[in-house]
Amino acid sequence: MIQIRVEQHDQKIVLMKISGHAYTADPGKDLVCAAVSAIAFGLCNALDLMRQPCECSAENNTVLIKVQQSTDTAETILRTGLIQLQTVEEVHRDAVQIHILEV
Amino acid sequence: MKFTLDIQFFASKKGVSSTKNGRDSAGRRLGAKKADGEFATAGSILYRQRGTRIFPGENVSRGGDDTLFATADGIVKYERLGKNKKKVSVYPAA
Repeated sequence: MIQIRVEQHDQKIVLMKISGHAYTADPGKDLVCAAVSAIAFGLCNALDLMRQPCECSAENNTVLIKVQQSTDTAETILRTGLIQLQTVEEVHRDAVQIHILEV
Repeated sequence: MKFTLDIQFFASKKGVSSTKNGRDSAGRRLGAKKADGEFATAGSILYRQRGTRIFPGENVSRGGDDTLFATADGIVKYERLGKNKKKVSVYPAA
């Protein structure tokens, strides 16, 4: 199960952590994993290319995005990513679980 | 791009399919230990089995684990028992 933890402060996303395994097929054939991987790496690159004050890392089955200072652009990018992940979760609840927390 | 896409980043361990099978116990080496027409001494094991695939006949007894063993010296004989059963007997050599 891929666990996605989203922390918000004043309705703005300040942290997104995507970790775990989809386990819907063998490595190399796991479509749910591919979808989530593409979204997660796309998010990191978008934030990086748009030079947003965020810290992104991708290692050991975990993608971690920390927002150091919330901006409209970062919020828009992260919110779009969250909606994309929710779109995957909607049809693959057995493999993806999103938790949104107000901190 | 700073982050190179690994399309299977959230897949299970690379190259190892997550199977929960793959275990088996060692073979119990069941079956006949003395052949038909062979000489058997008293106490020697004739047939190892689970349940009574073969029933004890003359001069043969069944152990606690259904093993059949000779109770007298003699020649081993595998015979029919009723319509669809088998038995093993030991007939003392003439």
